[in-house]
Amino acid sequence: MTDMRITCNRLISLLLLICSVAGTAAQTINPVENDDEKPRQPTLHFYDKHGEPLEEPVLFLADLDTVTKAKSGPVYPLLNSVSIGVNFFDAVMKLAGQNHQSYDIWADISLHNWFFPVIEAGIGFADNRPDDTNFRYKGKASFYAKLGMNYNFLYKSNPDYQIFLGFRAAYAGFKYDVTDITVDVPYWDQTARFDILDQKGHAFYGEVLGGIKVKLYKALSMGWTVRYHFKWNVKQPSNSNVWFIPGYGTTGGLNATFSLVYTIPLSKKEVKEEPALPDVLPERTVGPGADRPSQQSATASDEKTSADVEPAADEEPAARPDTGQPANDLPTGD
Amino acid sequence: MFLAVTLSVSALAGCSTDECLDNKNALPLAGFYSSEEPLQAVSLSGLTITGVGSVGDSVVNDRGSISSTYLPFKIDSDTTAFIIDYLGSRLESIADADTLTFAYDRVPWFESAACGAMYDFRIREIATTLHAIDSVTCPAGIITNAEGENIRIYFTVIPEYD
Repeated sequence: MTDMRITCNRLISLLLLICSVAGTAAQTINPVENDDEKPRQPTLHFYDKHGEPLEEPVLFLADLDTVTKAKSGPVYPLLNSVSIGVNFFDAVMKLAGQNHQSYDIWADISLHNWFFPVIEAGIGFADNRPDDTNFRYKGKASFYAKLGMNYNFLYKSNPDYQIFLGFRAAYAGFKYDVTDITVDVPYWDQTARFDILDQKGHAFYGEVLGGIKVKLYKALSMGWTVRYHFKWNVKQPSNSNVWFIPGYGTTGGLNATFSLVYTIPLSKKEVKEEPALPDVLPERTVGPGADRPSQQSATASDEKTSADVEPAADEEPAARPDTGQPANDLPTGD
Repeated sequence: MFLAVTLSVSALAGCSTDECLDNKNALPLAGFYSSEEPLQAVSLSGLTITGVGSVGDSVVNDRGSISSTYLPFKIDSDTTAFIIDYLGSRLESIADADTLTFAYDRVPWFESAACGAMYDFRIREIATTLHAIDSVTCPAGIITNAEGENIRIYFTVIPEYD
């Protein structure tokens, strides 16, 4: 019994001696390489860009958000450009026999290439002697003005081209004479000739319109609109019903304009573009676990390659600290 | 293509609704009514209506039964008179001819490019003899080119319908 006890004690001592030697060997500090000439090797990533642990460490992290959401906001700056136009549609219609004309100049300002406040001002006049009638309508040159807004549906596209809807509120004064009037009463065999002079009045009316604008050359463009107009209030003269209202026309609900436009840019186009991916990946990761011990990352100079590296059974990723930063500093394209 | 559409739109707009839906002159149109209540339109036959000072035919020389007639006003004067003769009608033995006189202001008026320009007649006074006529009115006070009756002649004797 005593012999066995002595033997056990010796075995225990021997075991303790062996363990102490092994522990001493494990505590041996490995030499640290300080070779600055040695090229840096890619690092392994154990966490994704949101800090979530990966099932397997990877060498490169892909950008998870490969499809960026389309921007709904404006693309162009607030004061993008100013356009000045001249409407000469009625000059074309005069060639077709129309006997009243309205000409105007207009100006608009481009807000984000999206909304276009616009002001128009012009003069209108008429000289009408219809067939089979007994008068001559002579409308004197009278002023009109319109104020409104256009909405450009192509606000994210090239500002040289527009498709828009708009509205106008307008005021027009008018003055006219009705001359060369002839009235016959066959029963009494009588004919009267007279004039109705100095007829004056004014009108308020509105318009809704649709149009397009296309670039011709450099800053020159051409624009067309089709307009539906409606009267709000007309102050008629004392001895007549007005026939022609400047800027409005005569009877009928539709009108059109045809303009030559000159555009003055107010700022350079600042289109927010997607940044290009860098050619070279960043040298180190940033984010959760960045300050962790060497178990989080390993250099490829180790005998095991990145494809062969597997986390040790006892090396589970620690709880993700909340650093507020992505796990790596790869550009995200935002 | 847009220019073609624009021109088409303007052409359509210019072609739309430029037609005179009323008269191209102010036309006094007198209707015949009984003077008794309730208001009732009446027809007369065998009437002869002639403008005083006219050189042509009568306004009305119809042996048929009529319930209204045009009374054209002079345009070089502010008064026009008409004689209503009942010869040939049932009233021949009952009433002598009546004389209607209208006094008015001639108002130059431009109606529209389709209807043209004309005189409107703003009635100042209506005078009449009272043989078969009870009264004459112009309800609107003005005669324009609007289609429809604008003078009423009330007869005291209700004629029999033919």
